[in-house]
Amino acid sequence: MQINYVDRVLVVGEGAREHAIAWSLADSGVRVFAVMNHPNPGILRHVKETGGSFKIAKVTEVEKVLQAAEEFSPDLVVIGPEEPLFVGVADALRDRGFLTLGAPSRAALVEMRKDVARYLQWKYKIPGRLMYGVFREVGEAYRFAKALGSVAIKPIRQAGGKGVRVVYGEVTYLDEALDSVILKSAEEIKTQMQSYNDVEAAVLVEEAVWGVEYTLQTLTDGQVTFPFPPVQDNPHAYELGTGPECGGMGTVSPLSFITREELEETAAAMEATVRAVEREFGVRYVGVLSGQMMLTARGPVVIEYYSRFGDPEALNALFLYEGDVYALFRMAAEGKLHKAVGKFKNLYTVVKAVAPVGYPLRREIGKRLWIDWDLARDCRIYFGSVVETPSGYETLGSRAVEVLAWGSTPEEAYAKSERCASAVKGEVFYRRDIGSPQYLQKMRQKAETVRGVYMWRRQRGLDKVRLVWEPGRGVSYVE
Amino acid sequence: MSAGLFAIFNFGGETDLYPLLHYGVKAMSNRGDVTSVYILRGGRVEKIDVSPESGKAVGQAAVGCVYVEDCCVETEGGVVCKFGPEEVSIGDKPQNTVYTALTRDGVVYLYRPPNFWHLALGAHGFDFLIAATESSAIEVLGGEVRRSLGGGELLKVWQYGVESSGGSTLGPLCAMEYIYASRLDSEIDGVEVAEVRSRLATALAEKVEADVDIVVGVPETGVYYASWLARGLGRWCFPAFVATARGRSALLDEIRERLAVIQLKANVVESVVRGKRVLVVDDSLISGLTIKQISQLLRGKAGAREVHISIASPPLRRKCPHGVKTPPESHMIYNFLDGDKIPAALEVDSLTHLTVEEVERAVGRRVCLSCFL
Repeated sequence: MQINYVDRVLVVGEGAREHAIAWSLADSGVRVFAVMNHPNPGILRHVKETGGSFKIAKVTEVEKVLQAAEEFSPDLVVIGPEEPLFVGVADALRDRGFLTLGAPSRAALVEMRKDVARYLQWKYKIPGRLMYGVFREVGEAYRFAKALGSVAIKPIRQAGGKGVRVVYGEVTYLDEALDSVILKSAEEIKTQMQSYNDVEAAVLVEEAVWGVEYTLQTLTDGQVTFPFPPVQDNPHAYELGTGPECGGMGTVSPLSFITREELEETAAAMEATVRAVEREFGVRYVGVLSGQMMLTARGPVVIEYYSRFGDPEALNALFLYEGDVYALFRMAAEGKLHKAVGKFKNLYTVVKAVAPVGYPLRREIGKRLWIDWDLARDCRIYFGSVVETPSGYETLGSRAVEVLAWGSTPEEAYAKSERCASAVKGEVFYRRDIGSPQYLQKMRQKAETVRGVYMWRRQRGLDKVRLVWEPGRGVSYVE
Repeated sequence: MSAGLFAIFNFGGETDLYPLLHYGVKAMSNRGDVTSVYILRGGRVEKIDVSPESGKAVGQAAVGCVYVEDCCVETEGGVVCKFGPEEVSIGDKPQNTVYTALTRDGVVYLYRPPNFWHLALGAHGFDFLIAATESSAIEVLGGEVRRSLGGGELLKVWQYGVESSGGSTLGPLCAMEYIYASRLDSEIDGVEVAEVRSRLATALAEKVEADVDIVVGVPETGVYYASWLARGLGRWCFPAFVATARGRSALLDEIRERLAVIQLKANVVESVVRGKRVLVVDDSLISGLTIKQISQLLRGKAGAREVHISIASPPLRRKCPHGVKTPPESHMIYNFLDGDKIPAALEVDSLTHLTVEEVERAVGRRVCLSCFL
């Protein structure tokens, strides 16, 4: 019988991301405890195997999470999803003296409020900014969108990617068709936002950029940021990057088509954001700050912030980290992150999310799901929006399972990921294109093209000042 | 030349698709002047006219076709726009026929066969999926080209997904798609058509023996070949013709009609050619009537000293067995005269063309060459 004291960690959340966190913590040898909205079969396994315990409760109810913490008395609490951060779960835990990894609610505003994030970026001159405007009236949003040309239209509040639209408007002869998309989208966002009562219904319109997306996830203790390898997420639900925006259908990491300098620039933007949060809101950012970036003709640009790990990006990052994740998380939570060493496995990873048909437009609850464990034997399977019943796995509507494959080459990782994703059976779908050689080739080409443009601009100082020439009105300078 | 097929699906629901359809069709006008477009609106599939500059076409999806004849067929469940010799039911995977289809229950099917024909897929923003024979048509609609469909790949596009099946058996592509039919700025299986044409022209330059002063191209396809040929020969290339109307003369089998089109598509710029030894470059040779006309214009009207001809493909000898409209074999000059007699018949100083082997080598992939054999 074991009598040594073993550290206890409470994981808040129930997605595949939290499953990955629990898995890494279990590998670190701690006892895993969990509080989750629904019993995630994967997290349950780690709880059971490490001798922990769990509670089913709404993780956005501060009191419920506090009760779980009081009951389990963990040495560390790790908060996975953004919604508990928004409502102040991390604040409440810290107030009660729990060592917590998770952004304070005021820091999490960088994710929750798109308008606040843009405001901070401009006020504190954080690199990677976009021109933007915030509108309550659909008509005003439309006029601003027309003036900008190509635009992204978003709800000002984080809503899991829902409602985001991009319209490339330089092609003026298509105006009539694209106008109706802009107007329809602005209307839909206003309606959608009425379901949130923590923010007024407004629409953010910003210049649309074109390029290669990547996510840089960093841990921060408020002083130092610790970056994980960059991950590429694929937010479109359907094959070949078509279809509606969703939580993310798969990821690739590391990324050979993003340069070291670009990553350093991105990491610097994340550090500047941590400092800006402290200056503006007077809180120390302890948790995860991720930049959902795009390498564009203006260089790396922040599309949006996450105040947590991405899902599925967390899977790649935590798998690749070579070391004790519990020790690393503690260093972040205790303000000792300067001691952390960034060592990562020399492997390529691909993650594929498997979702019930209907996702993300229609939630299919209670659809049966099977996993051919033999076919997926050399991959990791993470559970998300799924529960285990006596008769098998059943979907809860969102991404059900995420499959992580790795290899010593990108091709090997891709081939494995395809086989393992096909091991998830039922009325489900996943994207075959993510991670394929053709896909990576396309990304590399795109990255090289936009890199050529932004380097050209920078050589001429056009990144500092933008010269705007309006025929009939004259020349003006922005910035 | 095959038909220009296209399809569009709006994941954001019903909006006005008119400009996208009007310009999508326009972007493939190189493939003919007969256009059919069908739109899905409120569970009905209806034929619409998108030729006027502006109009309204509210719907969630549309399919269509641009060719020298109507190639869309209405079926019980919707409409199929197809090109190739086989009969097609929606969902089929024929060997030699490409199609886009739209059903009343809101599904778009996109199919590229293993053989001969191309179909590219792209997207605009988060809303529009666009498919087209010409990948550049996707760009004209402000979209981004994602890739060519695989050989034998069927894509089912509906509100809740894009499902792909098959796609690993890529057979020969129609050589004419590279040589002549496609837009220069289109991509087929990741290779731009212009790249292939540059290799064809370079191969042709190595064969030309005539000593010339300048190189000129027959509009429109011949102009790009001419630039590369001039580069290979170390000579200047000039624009020597002004086109009044766009028209693909090989598409028309009425000889009278063809003559009229030649006049409209190539009026000569005299000062470019007067007193010069001229190398004329064209993409293909069928009856030779275009070449004869042009040679006469250059010599008789504009005072060229010598007129040499080079063709970036072998001469046509057979009707296409796979459905491409061609003039009858009785109109193909190489079926009636030996090669050495042709320059005299066309009143030119020399004539150089590529062989099937040279085309194969320059293209660098398996191509169908039936019409040249």
